[in-house]
Amino acid sequence: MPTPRPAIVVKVDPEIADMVPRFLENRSRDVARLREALGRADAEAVRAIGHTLNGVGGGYGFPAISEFGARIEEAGAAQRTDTAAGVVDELADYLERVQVEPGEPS
Amino acid sequence: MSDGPKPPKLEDLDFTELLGPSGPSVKPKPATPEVEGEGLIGEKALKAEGYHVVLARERGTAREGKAVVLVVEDDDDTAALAMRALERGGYAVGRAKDSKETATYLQRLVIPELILLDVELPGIDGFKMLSHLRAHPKLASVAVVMFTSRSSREDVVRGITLGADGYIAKPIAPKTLLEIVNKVLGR
Repeated sequence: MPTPRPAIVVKVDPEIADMVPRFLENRSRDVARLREALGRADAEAVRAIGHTLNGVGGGYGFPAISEFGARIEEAGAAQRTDTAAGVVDELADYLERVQVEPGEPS
Repeated sequence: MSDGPKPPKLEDLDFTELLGPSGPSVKPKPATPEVEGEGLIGEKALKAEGYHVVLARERGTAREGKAVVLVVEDDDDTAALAMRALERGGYAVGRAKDSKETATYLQRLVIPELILLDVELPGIDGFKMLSHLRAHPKLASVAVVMFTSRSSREDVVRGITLGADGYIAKPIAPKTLLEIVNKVLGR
């Protein structure tokens, strides 16, 4: 039986904590949209979704999501869909493991 | 190819036509690149958070009372975060997703004190919208702060040269965003 991967705990600003569940749901939708775009080799769509992820993640207290987004955007812009697919898998893994706690963002 | 509606052209949404030819006559803002030195606002706060850049000219022209900020942003989560920060900061906030909604807002609602303007938008991009705003007799004096993940030096210089009052590189903490808007509006 595989060992469960450890949770990633992220502390979010209490003033926006109520917005975070929807934010994370939408990121999971982004993973699905990215996989659809990769499935049809639409590098521009991959770039655009990565661009949005890059812009939105850090504001909600998830700089890792911005970093994934920047890498996806860069790979999409360079038409490197294989590279983008790997980062999308990393993002999906992150979203499965992330747990949110109110507190001062680190 | 999609058979859906074509993106609106800002040229087709002439702000003069929408708003009427009357109104205060203001001179277009000078295209003054202010990339370094004095005039940088919020730069220190952003750097402390590891963000790239913000540039702005202090305006000090805000009216008394509740100022209106229009957030032009196509991403719902980004817009919601900015609106939350601005509303908690005491602003009345509107939102438009693209150039067409921006023109509609300006026609039917109110001319805001400040427009927070994304660059990558469906149809007309934020830089082109900025150039049209600056050429319009009723809108040229509205403060515009670019709000974008496109933060290369080339992009920043382009925005400032076109007449932006500030340039915020996403992602940005809500608190910092509010500080910058306050600073640009002299509040």
